[in-house]
Amino acid sequence: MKKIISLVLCAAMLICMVAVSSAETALRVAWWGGQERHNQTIEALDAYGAANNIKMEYEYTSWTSYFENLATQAVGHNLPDMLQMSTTDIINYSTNGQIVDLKPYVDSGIIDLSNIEEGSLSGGMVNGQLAGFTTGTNTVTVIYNKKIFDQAGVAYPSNEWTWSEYIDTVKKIYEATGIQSDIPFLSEARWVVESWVRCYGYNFFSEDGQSLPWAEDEKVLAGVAKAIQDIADGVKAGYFIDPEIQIAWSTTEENYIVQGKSAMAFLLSNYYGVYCTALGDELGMAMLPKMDDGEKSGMYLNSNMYWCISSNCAQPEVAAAALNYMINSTDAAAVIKTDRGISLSSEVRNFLATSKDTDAYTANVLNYVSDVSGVVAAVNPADPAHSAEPISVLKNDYTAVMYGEMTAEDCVADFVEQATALLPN
Amino acid sequence: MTKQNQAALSPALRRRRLTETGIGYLFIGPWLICFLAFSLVPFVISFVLSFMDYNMLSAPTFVGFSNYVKLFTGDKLFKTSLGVTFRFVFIAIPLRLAFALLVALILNRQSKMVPLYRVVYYLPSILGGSVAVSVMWRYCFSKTGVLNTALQAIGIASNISWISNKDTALWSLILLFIWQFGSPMLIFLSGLKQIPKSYYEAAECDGAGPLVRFFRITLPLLTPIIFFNLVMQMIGGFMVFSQAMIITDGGPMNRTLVYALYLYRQSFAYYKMGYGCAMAWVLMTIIGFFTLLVFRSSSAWVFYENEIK
Amino acid sequence: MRQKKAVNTVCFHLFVGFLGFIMIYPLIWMVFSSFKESSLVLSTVGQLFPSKWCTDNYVNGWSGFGGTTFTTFFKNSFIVTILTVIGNVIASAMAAYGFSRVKFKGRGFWFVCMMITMMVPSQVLVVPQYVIFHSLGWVDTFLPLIVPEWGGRAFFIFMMMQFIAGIPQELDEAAEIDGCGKIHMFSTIVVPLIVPSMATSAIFSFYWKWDDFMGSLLYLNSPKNYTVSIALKLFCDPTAVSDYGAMFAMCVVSLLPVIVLFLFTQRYIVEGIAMSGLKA
Repeated sequence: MKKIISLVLCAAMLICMVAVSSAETALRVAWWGGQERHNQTIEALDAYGAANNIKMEYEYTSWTSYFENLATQAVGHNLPDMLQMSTTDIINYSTNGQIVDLKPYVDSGIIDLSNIEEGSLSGGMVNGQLAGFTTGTNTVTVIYNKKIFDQAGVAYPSNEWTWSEYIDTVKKIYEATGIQSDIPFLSEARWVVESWVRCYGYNFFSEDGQSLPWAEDEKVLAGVAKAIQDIADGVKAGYFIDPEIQIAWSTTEENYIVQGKSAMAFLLSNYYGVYCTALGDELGMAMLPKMDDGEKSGMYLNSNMYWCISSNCAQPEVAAAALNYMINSTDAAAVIKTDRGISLSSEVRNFLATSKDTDAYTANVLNYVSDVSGVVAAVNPADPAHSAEPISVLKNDYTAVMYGEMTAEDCVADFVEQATALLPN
Repeated sequence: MTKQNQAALSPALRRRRLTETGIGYLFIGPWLICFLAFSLVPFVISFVLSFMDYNMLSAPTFVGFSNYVKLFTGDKLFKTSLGVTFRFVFIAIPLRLAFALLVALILNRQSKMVPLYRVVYYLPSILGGSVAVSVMWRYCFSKTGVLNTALQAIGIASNISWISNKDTALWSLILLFIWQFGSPMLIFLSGLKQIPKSYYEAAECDGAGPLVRFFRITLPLLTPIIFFNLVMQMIGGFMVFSQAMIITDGGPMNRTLVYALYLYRQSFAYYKMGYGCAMAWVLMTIIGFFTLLVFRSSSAWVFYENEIK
Repeated sequence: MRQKKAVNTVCFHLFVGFLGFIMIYPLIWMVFSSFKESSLVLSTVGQLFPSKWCTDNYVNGWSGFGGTTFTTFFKNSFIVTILTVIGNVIASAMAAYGFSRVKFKGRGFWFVCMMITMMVPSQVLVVPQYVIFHSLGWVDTFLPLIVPEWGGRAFFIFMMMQFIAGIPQELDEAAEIDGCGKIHMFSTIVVPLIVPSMATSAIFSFYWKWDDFMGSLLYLNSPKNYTVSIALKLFCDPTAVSDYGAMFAMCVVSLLPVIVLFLFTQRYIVEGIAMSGLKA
């Protein structure tokens, strides 16, 4: 009798095992990007899906409509299982319970941290939860055209250069060759203002995300205003490019720096390779200049973007495993390379640095980011809630100063006032 | 009709009245069903949401009139975007209609080439709000673009970057809007074709010249079409959105921040959908007001042929 | 006299042709650019003719994304658009006739409702509509794009009403005397008379739907369901280097159905039946 029962149980178990393993699990993955990213990501995920018997379903769009789409899906509790997330939106999705804490999957080992420094995850932490896994870091850089520097007889910038040295360099090159430089981050003033603020030892946003920690410090306010004024003066004097021209650039090719018509430009590091390719020559990379009266370097590291798992995902372990693949696997990295930033995994970074397929430009970025990591403590946290609107105000006011419609002091004052009013929950 | 008379109505007539109602609903049936299911409910929801703080990622919370109050008292960009939109509507619409009518008049003649010309003039409108148009337009209006080259060729020294110059940025959008006049033009053409040739022949016999014919025959008979185009274009003009988003993104310095773009930003970029709904209702009220104005004025200038007795 | 007419004709063609050329120059530029090498498209803006003609853009563009080619995208666009057009025109004509010529209770009220639907900015309806369609289980199908169109569009209804208004009332009365019911009158008399406006509606409906991006994007999640308009936008992502050559190439291809349709139907629009025919 016992024998029969145990046989039946064994058979039942076997049947169950077969049933479970042949049932196809499906995973919905969503991201934004251009054609190349779509092709690369699909290639990488297809390989994973085939190897693990998972049916992958992809939802990809371009950046401009991604979040409208996502928000609407959130309302219908229909978010994709695994989704790409940005630094400006992650806090909203996390605090409203739309994406899950990834710590349990780290603790259980599904997401492997053996090659990743715990500190580098700080970018994805929201209220003590690991809301998103940083796909890669990026940072800011000043790219410069070496040939123009040579022509002007000016030394290349060092990583320790100061703001006045930067302005002098711009002037000297203009006087020697007639070539101007880009207005720093006209397209998103926040990136350069943040670097100035950090020189004085402050974070851009307060830890609780409710205010600007530097809003009361006269020294900082004056420093920022002076820096903005320096650029505005330069626009009037002619050694910075006319904002009317610069603001019209929307594609890589339109930028003067890739046409050899500009000496220096401020850029996010992940675009470096694209710009070099467009120019057809290697551009130099330097850290952003320090404020003259600042205590330290203003450099910072950002999470380029995150992978998150939605709260309506039926099988989060499957999603976590796929997430782990995208972060840690060198196979995936071989296809995607640095499109989503410089990987947190040292194994992937080494793989890319030593791979034959990696071109010189990617190598430059890898080296640059690791240099910056030596100077910076941790990766920036995600932007606080309600920060999108003040950042937009800063961009508009900064542009207005360059157009000569606003004074630098008013710009700083208006931004601080609006941020103080809009940030609190 | 007094109650007595009504009772005296023959059952047949009453039945006919009822049947007419039934038939009426039969005809508008498809529209009505879709309206109730897909328009009315969302419409009501958006009204309710305008009194809420709603970030779409969690349940809305009631905030009473505070969205509306903030809109009218604390929001600088609200006034800016309204101003931009009004400028756009009151410049672009009349110009677009005028061009559409002009071209329709020119093309309203028998000629083998005319069908081809019609396609040519209509093509820009087909492109709609596509990304390709925006890219092209940006190039044509840039510092080194076709427009400047053409102006320089005829002797005007033009060096402006039209889409990033704060004074001309809105004009680049207005011109794009006018360029796509194909739709009202087609409608005008349909209207022109329905004017009987006999009227023109009679007028010519009486010795009326082309201008007289235009003002005495064409224009009056076209008034229903003009009325239609005016209402439609005006409504569309108030809601202009995608070109402003793609070509100038509201810039430079909010000079092209049309109302619908600001509404979109508040709703989706700043996660304030409740505030966006309040903005939408304000816009609807404004559009409704102007539409009502045009409707009310129509009895004075719109002339339906079947009213000739 | 003949000479004057000849001069007239020449002037006409010169003026109209020249203006037309200016009108479509941007389009001509786009067509020529699609034959340039993709990286050169934006750097050789001033030059109209490509220095080297290549068809790579068409091949690259057609291959689409991650294995889904434009064959799929075009198929989807056609299905959605054609079904939309049919629904739009029929339902709009019916509603237009009902509002214009049939006296029924509540007519004024529903007319105002219809007008109001045109004044609502779509961004605000987006979220509630999505919830409705999601609860019906229609997300990631073509249904949310097609079914609402079978109620017609206020624009077409209003336009056809204007055309119906031009049909003399005597016709209605004559038909009634002949014992013709409203429905019969609609199908045999009114519809043939408003063919121009129906054709116009069909064209508008076609290219509005063909171009529709936001609606399609929200409800079509899988790339295999994407329409051409979504696919075109995917080429131009601001965060990536865009393949303008491929985008222009596909844009040119996507214009072709609309142009062809227009060429075939424009004579219906403009060869309106002259009113004089009615009098007889």
